[in-house]
Amino acid sequence: MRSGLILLFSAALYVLASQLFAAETIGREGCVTCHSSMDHRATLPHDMQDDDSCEMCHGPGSDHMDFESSKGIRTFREKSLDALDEANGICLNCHGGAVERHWPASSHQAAGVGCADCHSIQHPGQSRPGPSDMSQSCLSCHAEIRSKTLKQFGHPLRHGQMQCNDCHQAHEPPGEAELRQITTNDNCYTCHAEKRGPFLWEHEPVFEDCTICHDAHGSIHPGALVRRAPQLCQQCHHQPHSRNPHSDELYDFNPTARIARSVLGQSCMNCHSRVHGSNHPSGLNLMR
Amino acid sequence: MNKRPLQHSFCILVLGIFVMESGHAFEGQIEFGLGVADKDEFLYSPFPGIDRSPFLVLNADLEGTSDDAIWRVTARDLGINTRTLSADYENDAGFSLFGEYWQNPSRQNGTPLSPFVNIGSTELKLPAGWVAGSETGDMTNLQTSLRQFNIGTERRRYTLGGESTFGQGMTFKATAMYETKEGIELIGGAIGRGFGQLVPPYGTGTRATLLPVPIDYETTQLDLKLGYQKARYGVELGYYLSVFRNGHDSLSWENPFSLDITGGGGHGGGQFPLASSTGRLALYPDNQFHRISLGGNYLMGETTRFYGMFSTGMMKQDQTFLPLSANPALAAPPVLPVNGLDADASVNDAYLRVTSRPMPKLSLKAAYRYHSRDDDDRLLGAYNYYALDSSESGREIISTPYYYRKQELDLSARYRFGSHTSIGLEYEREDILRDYVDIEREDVDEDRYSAHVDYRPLDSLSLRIQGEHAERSGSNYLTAIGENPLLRKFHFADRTQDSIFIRATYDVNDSVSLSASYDRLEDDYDNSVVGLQDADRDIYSFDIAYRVSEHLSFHGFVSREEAASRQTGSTDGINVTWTADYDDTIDSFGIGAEWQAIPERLKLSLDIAMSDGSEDISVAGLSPVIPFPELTSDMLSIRLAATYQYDKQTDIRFAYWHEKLGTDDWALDDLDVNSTPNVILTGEQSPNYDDHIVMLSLVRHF
Repeated sequence: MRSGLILLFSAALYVLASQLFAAETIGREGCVTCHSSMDHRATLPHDMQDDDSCEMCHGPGSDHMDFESSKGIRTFREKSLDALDEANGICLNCHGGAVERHWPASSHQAAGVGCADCHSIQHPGQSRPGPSDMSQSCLSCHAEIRSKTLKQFGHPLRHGQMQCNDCHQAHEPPGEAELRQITTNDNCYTCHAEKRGPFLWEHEPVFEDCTICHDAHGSIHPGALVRRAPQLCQQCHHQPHSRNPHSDELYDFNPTARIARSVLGQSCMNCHSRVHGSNHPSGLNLMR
Repeated sequence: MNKRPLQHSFCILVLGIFVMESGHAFEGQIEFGLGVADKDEFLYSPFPGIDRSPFLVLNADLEGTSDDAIWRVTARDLGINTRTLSADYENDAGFSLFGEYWQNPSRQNGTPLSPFVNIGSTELKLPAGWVAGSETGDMTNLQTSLRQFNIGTERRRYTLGGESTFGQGMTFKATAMYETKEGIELIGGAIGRGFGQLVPPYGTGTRATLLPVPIDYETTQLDLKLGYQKARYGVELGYYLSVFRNGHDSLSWENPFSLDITGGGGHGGGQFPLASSTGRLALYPDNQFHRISLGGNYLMGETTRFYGMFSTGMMKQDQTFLPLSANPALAAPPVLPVNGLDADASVNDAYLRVTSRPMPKLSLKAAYRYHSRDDDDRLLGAYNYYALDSSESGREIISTPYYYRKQELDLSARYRFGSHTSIGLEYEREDILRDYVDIEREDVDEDRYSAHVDYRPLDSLSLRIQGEHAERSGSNYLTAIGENPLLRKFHFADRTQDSIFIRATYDVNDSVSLSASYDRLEDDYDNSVVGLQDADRDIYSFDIAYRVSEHLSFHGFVSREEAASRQTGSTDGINVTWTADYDDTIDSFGIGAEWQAIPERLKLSLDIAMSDGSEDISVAGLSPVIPFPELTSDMLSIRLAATYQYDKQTDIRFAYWHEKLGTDDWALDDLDVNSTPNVILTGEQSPNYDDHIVMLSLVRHF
């Protein structure tokens, strides 16, 4: 009986203390007292002019104000899995729709990525709640791709003429490799429709998957090829010398040799220029 | 003078007046200024849109609101040729509209040369008095006939779309896009059959010329979606159309080589009659693609979601065939029984997925993907073709249909232990079926197993380790007619793939964040005697962000990528007689800073990126070889910007951009138009540029 009373008293004391010492809202004015850069004049993607606009996502700010550190507030940078779920949940509370339907299946979700890892909603001058700099945001994690974008052949990502999300949709749409279109080739055809065909003479890898030969993110080989021709072509074409004395040749660097025709300039494509397919009735070998 | 910047300025002005007169509250900014450039015209130059100096700096962000609507106008780089102008509108009734104009040029270097007099035409002519030769060295007036041209294209895209919500959960989305691509590209054209002698004089054999080809593409796309979404379920019906039109159906050229280059060897080893004085290539034919799709989603309980999508499409192409040969010396080649291919290829796709969280700490996912392409039977029967516009080949060919099907299964589970650790397991299977004449391997399947651990012991520390193992095999590998039986094509071949990825991110304190990762991939083609043997790749990366104060922050990264692979070849069809080894190294480095030098007044930013890449190709065979020089690429990019707030409504901006690229490419460098006896090159060199851009502008805020 006595222990029960002590327990009850303790519980009541805890509830009372929780109420007494719980963080309280301080309102937008309280926030911008220190965070003056948030009080800027430029357009924000979220309407941060309301009094509760900061604390709606970050939580009550009084403790944070007292501690003068990141303690006591949700910064959206916490890395624990609980905090990540909670932070993502706050975003998804408002951003339902297709994002909410696809996000649980996304590879980014599985990799423990938070909404705030990519999206910044507080950058002045940015009118939409998109990543602050779309490609830079992606490349900060995808180091392999970042390295490729610095190579000289590829899509113009580095200078902003294209962005990662021109091809990809990180929230997992139906497309493979998180592409916007259903297949990789469909994605390429949106800008390179001339290569769709069908052709009288097809080059099989072309209609199967463009990435068999090309690395869309960047390469040191012209045409963003994954390997320098003629060796790339020889990985699939190697007819015996007696039949076709050039596809199995050991090519070295000799500009005056007969074989230079297959090495220099556009290499194999000096002759086999219709490598994506030919509609010429005499285009069997993709040379017409 | 290019009038487009003025036109766009006018558009912005009109929009501004419209906004001010419409009574809508609006805010935003317009940037206006001048820039000067000192740059080279090379492909992948970072500033392809700047083709003159000085140039206008013109950007704008405007946003207006009323009680029930919001609109935005965004303009980027209107003063140069890499420009975007977009606008959108949406209201509380669920109606939105958007439109965009996008323009993007791509320029190659400014020094290619060609002897043809009418570059830009689809019927290339040699100059009067042209001296043909068996080899380029015999063309005595080649050098004096050369003229410079520009390789480059420009895309212009117009997009218009809208979305409307009506009824209870009904939405209709429509997007229409029209794009043009115009300019000059380079294409290889060959005439004359046979392979010629191995050493000079080559006498017989195929000769090639790099030809400037005019580009005139139009692509129209339409994407319609009708959706119905309730709280627990939804469906969406879609239609997609793509229509491609090529303004040019062929490219013909006068043969710069003499007509006595016919050769023996090749199929049957026979002799071939005269080469043609004219060659003709077919350019990309017009095509169409139609697709309808149906998707649906269903939420069962609170944590299980189903998603499914089915689509079927048809690719169509019926361009009129060119004649079998353009050789004017031949009697009229036989007429084909059909004018065009009238080709239809059906494309079918499906994607089914279920995700569930049966327990708060357990997440499950299962997905299935299907894709197939199936050609209709070709109406064109067997016929004799004309090789490289020379004589009738004496060999009957027939175009046969293709069938390709890919199925993928993906099963994954993730379980969380407490709030610090999660473990994920995944199994994926890919099954590819190819069915067409002379296919080497009909079935290819790959099983992939992966596991990862996420460990987040602190709110400031996260670790991730992921490993994968995949094995690819398939049905018996058959040798295609005429192919080396030892060869295994790398995308059909048996392969074992292993990879590991480790990443750690640590927030040292509120100011400093560190991140490091290591990524290794190993491919082994164990059963390939000839072809790709193995490929390994390692990537090391380190990132740092340091926020010194509210007014000063730094960020930086450094990474190294190392890749190595080996392939083998056989000239006797029995043994491996040569090898080629590739070693790639790419070092990347970047550093940046943002500094409010005078709070609320002066902001400075700096971004520097460097990349140093190289590839070494080592070939070895039974006899001595001449090694390939190293391929290199060194890039330095600097961007410096300063913004001074003159008053509450006005900023002054200064920007300096610099980029320098130096590359060495043995396929281009130090090669003249006639450096190779049997190919007329263009003499173009690998990209090397040193660009400087300075901009000064005024930003007016509203």
